[in-house]
Amino acid sequence: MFSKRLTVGLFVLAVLTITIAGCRGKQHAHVLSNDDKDMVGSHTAGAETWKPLVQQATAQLMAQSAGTIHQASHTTGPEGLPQRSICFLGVQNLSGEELGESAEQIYEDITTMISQDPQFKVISRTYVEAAMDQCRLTPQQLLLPEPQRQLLQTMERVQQPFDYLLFARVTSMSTNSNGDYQRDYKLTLEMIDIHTAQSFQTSADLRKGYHKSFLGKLKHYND
Amino acid sequence: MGATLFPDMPYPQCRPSLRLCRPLFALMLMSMAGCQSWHKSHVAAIHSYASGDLKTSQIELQKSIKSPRAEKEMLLLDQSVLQLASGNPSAAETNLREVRRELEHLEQTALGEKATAMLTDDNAVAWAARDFERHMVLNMLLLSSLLNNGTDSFAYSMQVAQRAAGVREGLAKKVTHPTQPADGTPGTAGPAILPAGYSGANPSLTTPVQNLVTPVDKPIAMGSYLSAAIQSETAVRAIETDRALDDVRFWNPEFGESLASPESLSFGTRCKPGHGALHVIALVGRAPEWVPESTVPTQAALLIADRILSVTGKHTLPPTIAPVRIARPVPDYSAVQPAALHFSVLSADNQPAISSIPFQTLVDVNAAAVASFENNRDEEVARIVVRRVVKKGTIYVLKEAQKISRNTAVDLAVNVAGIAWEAMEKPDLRSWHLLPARIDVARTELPAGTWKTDLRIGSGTGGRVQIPVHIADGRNTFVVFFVPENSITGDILVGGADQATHSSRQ
Repeated sequence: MFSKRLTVGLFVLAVLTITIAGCRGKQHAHVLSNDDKDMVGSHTAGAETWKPLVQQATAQLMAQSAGTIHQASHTTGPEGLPQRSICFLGVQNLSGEELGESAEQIYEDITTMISQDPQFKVISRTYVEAAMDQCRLTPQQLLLPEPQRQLLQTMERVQQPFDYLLFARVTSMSTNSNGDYQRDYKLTLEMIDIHTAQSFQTSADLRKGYHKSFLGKLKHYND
Repeated sequence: MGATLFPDMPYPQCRPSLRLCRPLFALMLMSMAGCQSWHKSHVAAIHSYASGDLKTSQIELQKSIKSPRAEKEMLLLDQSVLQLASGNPSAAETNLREVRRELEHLEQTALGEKATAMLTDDNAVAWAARDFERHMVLNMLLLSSLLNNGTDSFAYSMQVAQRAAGVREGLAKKVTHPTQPADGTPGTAGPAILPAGYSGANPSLTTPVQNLVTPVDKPIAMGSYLSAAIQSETAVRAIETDRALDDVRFWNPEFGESLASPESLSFGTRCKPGHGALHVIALVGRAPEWVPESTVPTQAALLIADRILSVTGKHTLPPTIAPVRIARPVPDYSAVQPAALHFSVLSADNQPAISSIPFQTLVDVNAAAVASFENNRDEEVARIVVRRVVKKGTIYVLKEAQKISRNTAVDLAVNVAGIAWEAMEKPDLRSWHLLPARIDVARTELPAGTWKTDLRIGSGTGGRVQIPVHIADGRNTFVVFFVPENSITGDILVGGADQATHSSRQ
């Protein structure tokens, strides 16, 4: 009797081991509704991080900028009011974590949010990239008078003059604790008025804890 | 069925024994069911790549990847090299990033896989790449990013610094708390190293740690080199640039000699005013192929041991007839040598403004693979020995549980099954096949502007290409090309301050 059980047990164990180790799950998907929470990235930041950061930092920047007097403008809006024309120079990743495809989405989200305000006009990315390529400039160089003039002239030639330069920077700070780590993400938006050299800067922060086990959250945050 | 197989034995006696054999047969069948047909198309892809037919190589590789039982991560790494050579660094970067994440996950111990590996072989454990290959994943990721738009280059350079510091810390721990003497003699442990990361220019501190650097970790030098280039583009990151350059010297002292003098540090803003740096990176040859190697002494020792136990024990054990085989790299030293790579910068009248810039080997994947094999050889043999013991033990327990007498037909059948079970073991030959055997680098400083360059292999028989490169003030321009056999294959990629792709067929 014992040997029978042993035999069956061994066989079942072997089959189970191979099945568990060798099985590949099927891929499934579902459409999320607006009420659904974003998935939380287990290894890197994703929608749960970048969406609130973009919303917070952009809203702050627009509020701060709207409170200032716009002295000169190249363009006017549909109601004849002067528009603040922005040359957005992309997202610079200075964090310890790669952005991958998120960089493009962050760019688009910031552009979309700013464009919703009639006070602001964001110049098409295609124009900006083409002009930057032609001038062979890096965003950092544009704070110097000569490269800035060069870019402005190029943009003016295609009827896309601008009043502001907009920079987006992603930075991070990591804290390690025996394999678990906390990463503090910061999105900084800096807008520079090329007529007055005045700059506005806003930033938004979000902290995330990454744990090797589900107990990590309890251990580090008593949560 | 039992009666047919063993006609001399009464059915009731024979049946339980046969039932006992079923788990073994089932295991064998299940292992064989994974007949890896994707191997054929993978081999075809490797050969096509070597012969310069990237299109066929990609088609064949796709066939392999689509196979449900294929080693996806391994094939995707090969695909990333193909994508890079085909002038698609964006796809290569995405691929490498995803594979790296997966490999990080697979690096963790999976008890289920380990248990299965005890019953089958090391191939049952998901492939997480060898140590040097993992270094190369990050290197290639950083290179792809530089050839792409460079958005994440800074992040990767930080990750390289973190990895370098981590490995260095591990070496420092070996010095401060040696489990065995660093150089094989007792009492030679170096002084305490605190902190492990960067011990500055004090040679008395760096030397003991540096002695422990093996070729396995030398590929880190490539990541550090590219990091130095990235950091050097911002003058205020002088400390980070110095650290990265220190790391290059630490991980590859031979290459580091070329960075000894201040004049040789032509990186980004360290160039003369109005000048930029040009880095020419050649991915030469192909990484070693891993082949099975029999460890005859281990097999003989196991055979003697099981014979002794068979003679003295209650039951016989399956003799160790199946060879004990481990995976060994076979380096290909036929790749084009650095001296045969010629890169020169031409003046307006097509005369060499700077004659051939010498190439130096930054990463020797052949040496890294051999060192990795030597480092892990004993452990691999030990795993096989344990596996054989488990298998023989399982057979013994079965015989004991079923009261199978010595020298009966059933005893013989079980032993034969045991031998077959052992013979089914295969060494783990999985590796990143399209990784180059060497990464050679040439570097020069040029005045900002567009220059025509001339790239030649040997006397020109391996291909000759002239491409324009733009040099920007205080920045780095990278030219990357592939020489898997004796000629330039695929596209020549330009990244950094300039972004372009040029065909090698001109």
